[in-house]
Formats: sequence, C-alpha cells, structure tokens
Amino acid sequence: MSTQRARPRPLRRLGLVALATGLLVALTACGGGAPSGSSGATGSSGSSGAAPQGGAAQGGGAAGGGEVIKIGVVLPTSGREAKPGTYQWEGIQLAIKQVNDKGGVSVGGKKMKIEPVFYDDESDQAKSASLVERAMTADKVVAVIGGYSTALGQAESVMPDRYQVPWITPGAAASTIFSQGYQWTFGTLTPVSELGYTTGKFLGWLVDQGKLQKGLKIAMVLENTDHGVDYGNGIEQWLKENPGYFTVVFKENFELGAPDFSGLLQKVKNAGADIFLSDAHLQDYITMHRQYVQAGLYHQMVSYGARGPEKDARDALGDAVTGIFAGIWWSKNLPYPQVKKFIEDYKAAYGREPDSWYAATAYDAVRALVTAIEQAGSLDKTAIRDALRKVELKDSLLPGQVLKFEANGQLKAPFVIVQNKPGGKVDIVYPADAATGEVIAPIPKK
Amino acid sequence: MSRSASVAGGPGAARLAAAALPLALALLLAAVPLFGLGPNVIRLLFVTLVWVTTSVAWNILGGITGQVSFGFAVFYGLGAYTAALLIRGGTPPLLAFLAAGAVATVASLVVGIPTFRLRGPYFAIATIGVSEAVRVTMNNLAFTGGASGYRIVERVPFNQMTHYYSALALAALAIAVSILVVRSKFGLGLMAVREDEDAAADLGLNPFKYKLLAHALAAALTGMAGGVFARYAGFIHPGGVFAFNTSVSILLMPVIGGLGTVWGPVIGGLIYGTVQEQLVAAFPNLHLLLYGSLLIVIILFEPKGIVGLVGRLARWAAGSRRQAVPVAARGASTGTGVES
Repeated sequence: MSTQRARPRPLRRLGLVALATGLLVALTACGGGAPSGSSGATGSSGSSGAAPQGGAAQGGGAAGGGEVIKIGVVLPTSGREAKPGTYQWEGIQLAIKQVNDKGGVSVGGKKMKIEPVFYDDESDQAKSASLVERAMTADKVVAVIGGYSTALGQAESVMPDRYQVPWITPGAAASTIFSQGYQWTFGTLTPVSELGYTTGKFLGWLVDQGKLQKGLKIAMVLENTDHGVDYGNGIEQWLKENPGYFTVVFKENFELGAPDFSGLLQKVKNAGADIFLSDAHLQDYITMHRQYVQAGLYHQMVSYGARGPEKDARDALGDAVTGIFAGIWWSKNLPYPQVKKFIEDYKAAYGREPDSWYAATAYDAVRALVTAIEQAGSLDKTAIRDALRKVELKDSLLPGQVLKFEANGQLKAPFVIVQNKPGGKVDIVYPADAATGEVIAPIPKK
Repeated sequence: MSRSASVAGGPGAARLAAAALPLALALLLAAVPLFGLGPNVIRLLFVTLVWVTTSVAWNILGGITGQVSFGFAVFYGLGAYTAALLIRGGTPPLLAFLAAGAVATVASLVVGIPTFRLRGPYFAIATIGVSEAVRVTMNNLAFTGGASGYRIVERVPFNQMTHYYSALALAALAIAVSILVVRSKFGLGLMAVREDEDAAADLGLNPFKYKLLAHALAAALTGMAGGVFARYAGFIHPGGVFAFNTSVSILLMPVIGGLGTVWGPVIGGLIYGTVQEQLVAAFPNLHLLLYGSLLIVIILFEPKGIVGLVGRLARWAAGSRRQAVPVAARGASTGTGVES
C-alpha cells in the first residue's frame, strides 16, 4: 500500500475542516435550542433547570445534610418541548418548596424534606428513557415524575415496572401507556380520547344551542402519534354515537415537529370543511396556525386539541389566535379556592401566572406522591406504589377537584373547554356550569 | 502494510501488548458480575458496547474502505425494528438479532447498488437522503406503530445481565470481524479502493463489488447492534433509531478513536459511550459542543484520532521522536494502512 504522502495536502485538510464544521453544525442542530426563560442545562440532585425567581425550589430544597426523600424528575427544559417541560418543572419545584417549607413529608412520625434529582431530557425519547433509568438505578429515588409529552412518556414508561419504582407522568396521556398492564405507572392527565370525545360533545352542544348548524363538515389533522390517534378516536366515537351532527370530510396525519404544514393546509382548504380540528403540540400549533392564517383559511370553529390558550402562541400570533378553542386538563379560571391560591403562589415564585395547564398537573403529581408517601408511612417503593393506587386528593387543582387514579394508573377527570377571546382573555366556555364567559361561535370572519 | 508498532520496547513488546490488552479487557468485561456493579454501571457498559459495535462496523466502510456514509441509522433502525417485531412475536432473541443483521444486509444492498455509482461527497449526500427517506417512511408505517413507536413486550422477566452479555458478545464479534478484514486479502482490496479507486480497478479489482461487500458487512453488524439495543430499550421509535444524529454519532466514534484502524473505533466507542452518558446527564446540550470541539481538534491536529495520538506519544516517550516524524506524518494521510 502506498505510503508516499508525507503530510496532508492543504486541500485535504480544508476538506477535513469542512467535514468537522459540518458535523459540529449537525450535532448542535440535532440537540435543539434552549428555550428563552430557561437556563437550559441542568445537573443532578437539586440543581435547577429553570430556577424560579426568588429561588423558590432551592429555598426549601435539600434538607441541609439530614435525611431526605429523593424524587427523580425527568422533563424537557430544552429542545422542542422546552416550554411545556419548563412549566411542569416549575410546578414541581413550587409543590416541593411548599412541602419543605412546612417541614417536609411525615414518614412514620418523622419529617423528611424532599430533594428533587432533576434531568433535562432535551425532548429526546431515548435520552428520556435513559435518564429515568439512571434516576431509578443510580440516584436512589423513591419515585420519578416525568414524561412530557406522550412521545417522551412512552419511552419512559418501560422503566417503572422493570425497576419497580413508581413513576407519575404529568404530561403523557396516550392510552397505549396505560393499557400495558403496568403496575408502577401513574398519570395525572385524563386520557386523550376523552379530550376528543369532549371536543365532539362541545361542538354538539353548540349545535343544540343554535350557535352552529347541524350537518357541518369537519376537517381533522392529527399528529402521527398515539396522542393524535386517541384524539381522533375520541371525536369519531362521539360522532358515531350522535349521527347527523357533523361529517368528517377530511382526515390526515402530520409529522410531529414538522417545519412546514402548507401542503397539508392546502388540502384542508380544498376539502371545503366548516370546522377545523387539529391535534398538535405547542410548537406545531404555532407553526401550523401561522401558516393557516397566511393561507387565508377560515373555519367556523378552530381547535388545536389541548393547545390554544398558551401565552407563547398569543405572543407569536397576536389576535390571530382569537376564537380558537381548546380542551384542557386545567384552567386558571377554575373557580376553586385552591386554584386561586396556586396562581398566587406561582406568581409569587415566578413573577407570572401559569401558562395553560402544564404546571398544575405537575404540581398535583407531587402532591399525590407526597400524600402516598405519608399514607405508606415508609420509603418502601412497593408501599408507596400501593398507597398511590388508593390516593384521593380531595383538594386537587384539576376539574372536579378530586385526583384519584383508575385501576390502570391513569386519572379520569373532566376536561374544560376554553376559548381565546379578544385582548388576550381566555374563558372557560364549557361545561356551561363552569363557564366564565360566553362562547363565540361561529368565529367571526376577519 | 504499514504497522506503526514502534512503541517503547520494540516490535516484540508491542505485539505482545497488542495481543494481551484486548484479551485482558475482554476478560475484565466478561467478569463484570464478580465486581458487584450496580445496574446503572451495567447500563452504561451495555450502551457503550452497543456503540463500540456500531463504531467498529462503520469503520469497515468509512475507515478501511474510505466511503463516508451518513446513513448508518438506516441499518441500526431496521435492525432494531426487525428484532423488536420478532421478539414481540415470540422469536428467541438470538434468532431475532441474526434476522436483524440479515435485514440490514439486504437493505445495504438496496441502498448500496445505486449509491455506490456515486463517489466522495456525492455518495455521502446520497446516504443522507436515503436515511431521511427511510425515517419518513417508518414514521408512516402502520404495522410498526408509525411515529408513535413500537413497544417490545417479552414474556420473560427483564434480566440486565443477559442484555449486557448480548452486547459484549456482539462487540467481540464486530472486533473479530474487523481484525479478520484488515488481515485478509479482502481487506487489502478495501484499502486499495480507499487509496485510489481507479488505480485499484486498473489492477483488476472491482471497486463496486468491494464497496458493496464492505457496506453489507458493516450493515449486518450495525443491524444486530440495533436489535440488541431495541430489546434492552423496550420501546423504539423512528425519531430515535432512524434519526440523523444517530448516523452522526456512529460516524463520530471512529473519527475520535482513529479512522481506518482496528482499535481506534473501539476506543472511540468506549469514550463516546461512557462520556456521552455522563455529559448528557450533567450538561445537556453542552455535550454536543464538547464533541464538536473535540472533533475539530482531532481532525485538525491528529487525523488518526486517539490511536494516532497514543502512537505519537509512545514514540516520543521512547525518545525516538526524530525518527517518528515521518511515520506520524505518514499516518496523518488518512489512509496509509491499518494501525492496531
């Protein structure tokens, strides 16, 4: 073999530098960006990914050298799901701080403080599962709270039964997670199929109220995940049980996190539907609705599933989000005293109100876990798991005010439908007995 | 073939070290249960061994044959899905891993036959395109769960050591294949193609056939690695196993360790696997910057990677720096033979 070339030629070296630079760019791009308002990278035990103003979590974090209860937290505070993940982490930190400020968790007559072991999974499924496994095997946690969104939760859900550590997801609700017969898996979100069903019910109610005509055509676009499948199934289930109300004239899937939906929206336009229902995550909702507006589309009712009232969307799209309705797991407009207190505490800790439902379900996940530990009276994981099965949080923030896990580990609470109003206002518009404002239907043409 | 074995102690000692060190490492890794390591360490070792396999496999095509592919996630992913489907269907894991390798081999031919008509950067770009096309297809394939992913349900309880030994055996197989390749006439042919495809053809070789065979061999090992990983993960999805950053990671390790060498990709895999796991946990996002910086430094100053650097340091330590200069420079020309 030739060994004549003594040194790399300048051109070859240039090529190598170009290759290296390309790889660097590719790697950085693959990692996604840190969200604004979050410090992004975080370490382990007790370190803060998105430190709240005033150091809310740290104030009552570690127990100053005494015995502590370690809870693993795996959420995305960078990458595609950074915003919702950060909000959930904030809700968790607030709940932990409040527990610690009161002296900690009562375990067999002894007060123990909670120490979170936080990992940012960068919105990456493989990393998410790996970090949950790490928390369960290396960090000696008694439980893990993690899994925003469905995609990340699915990957994580393999680990709890494997290592027999309770896992509570405050942000994943697909039925496939809770239909595996897992014994260590819990979730504070009502199934997504219920979201679809409630959406159908709400639209039917609008027809009954004379606000929409009977027989309108629906165009449905669903993210190609189990979240999308469940949402679509829920809507179709309601339509099947209530024939004649609406007809689905268009149904297509789209890729989660896709950069462009213009082709899909063109098809929606061509379908000539009256109602546009999309199941999308926050970033996709913002991208899709921007292109929806640019394409000059109009529908009598528009929804992006569980996304709609987020401040980020309002900031990005302004008044273009007015009229959009969403079925969500929690609203700050819920008329419960514990909700009002939560909003005050959250505002005091972070300088702003909670955005949509994200922080509330995470906050209640911590409260459910703390209640279970106290009821178990020990840090034995099996005892905590068994106690979680019986937990009944009667002052829950969530609609219905009771947090209780079903036999499959998932919560089943009602959804509320909220609608964006002019001037940045968001009202609960359904069910009628919880409404804080009149529904706008159909959305006026601009 | 140039073998820069001029480490301290002379060629005899170097040969002995070259034979004894891998054996010692293998024995050490095989004896892991005796050390009472926790599940987190075993997990780390498992992941590292999977990366070592893919690194060694990619090196057969990228390092020894000189064909830079950005599309190995295709084989990794297909292997993962094949094993997942079969294991869930009740096939014994060993058969499922072999099937994973077979499917990846077939895929390598499907990908290789058209793309090996292209050369250099055009081939590399084509592999990116193929990889992306496969990922999008898998995102929309209903029977594999589409973008939602696929859950592997086994009837037997999870036993971490079983997974660990699967990964260890596969890594040992990959290294053995790599050694056999570089010591064989076939390996010489691959290196000839890497050095000058036209000259190799003039000498009577069929470069297309050699590239295709190297591709198939590398794909088979990568596919099996995907299968072993999938069984452990218990849940796979196209956005993970078929992701472009999976391809980049597979490519990165041999570059770090030493392209075209036998042990460079092993070292690259060991470093990437262990360091990456810690960095991801401690410094999410920052680890990408660190890898990128490391890559630039290596490519600029030590194109033969860590193996090249170690060789250089060994020569320096032996006090033969002056004589070593031409050797090091020879090594830097990315393709003057295979070092161990």
